[in-house]
Amino acid sequence: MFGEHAAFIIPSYLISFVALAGASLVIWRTHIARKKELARMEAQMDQANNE
Amino acid sequence: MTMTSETAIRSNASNLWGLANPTRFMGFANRAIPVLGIATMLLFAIGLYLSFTAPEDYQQGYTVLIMFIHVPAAWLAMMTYSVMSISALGSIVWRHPLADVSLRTAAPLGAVFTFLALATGSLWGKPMWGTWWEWDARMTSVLILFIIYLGIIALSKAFDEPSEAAQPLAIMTLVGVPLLPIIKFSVDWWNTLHQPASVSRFDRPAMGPEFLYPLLIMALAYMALFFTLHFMSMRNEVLARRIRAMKMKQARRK
Repeated sequence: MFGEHAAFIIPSYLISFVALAGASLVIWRTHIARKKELARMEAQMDQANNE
Repeated sequence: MTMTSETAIRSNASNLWGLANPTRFMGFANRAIPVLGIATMLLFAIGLYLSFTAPEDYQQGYTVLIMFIHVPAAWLAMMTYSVMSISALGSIVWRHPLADVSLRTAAPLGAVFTFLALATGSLWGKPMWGTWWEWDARMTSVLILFIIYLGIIALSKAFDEPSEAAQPLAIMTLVGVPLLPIIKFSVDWWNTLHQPASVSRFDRPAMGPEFLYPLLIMALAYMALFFTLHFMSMRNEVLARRIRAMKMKQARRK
């Protein structure tokens, strides 16, 4: 498949996939972490307000 | 102009302006991200199908497949910088925090697209031109764009307080704007290994439809991916600023 230039075509697609999927994953994980931290901070603030 | 259309225009303008409010932006982003995400996946599925079923090029053979990921990455590298430049203007003229959020969150995405344009270009250049790299005007100007992206990312991380970085970031971004026409017209102004633009003349593109359509759909997929990731990153930055504000509030209480 891809003839004699497969050694150039496959790495091109691989690099693109890894870079774009990696960026998406990092951004998604950051979102989950920040949402958790915000929820924790809000709970702390509520607790402090009640005290 | 009728009253109804005037009211509609005013209403649209106020809706757009309303998005500059971070809370309204978060609501908009939460609704837009899933839609954009689905559109991105569909466009990639169609684009990749058309790319891999396209015929071999009579000169390049199967290496034409690299074009379908190299050219959209290069376009997005420049489009991202244009988005950052508009955000920089918003940051300088209106000093709006969301413009700064847009600028600083677009920079890493722009760096990724520029890196991909350079890497896939190199992998395309070796079999076609016999070289991984040549210091010609197009490649050198794109490398400079990549370095500018890295500089903007470094500057955005150099300040503890994000608002202090907004103006320097906006100025640095605007300083890099003249590079965009240099990249675009470098193939016309100088003798380079790159061929002149093949797609910009939509009435008479220098490319067969069997290559043009997959290329355009892949470009749309990259664009949809950019907007999905940009909105997600902006949402993350707004959350980070809320967390920071709460930490400051807590620290003042102690």
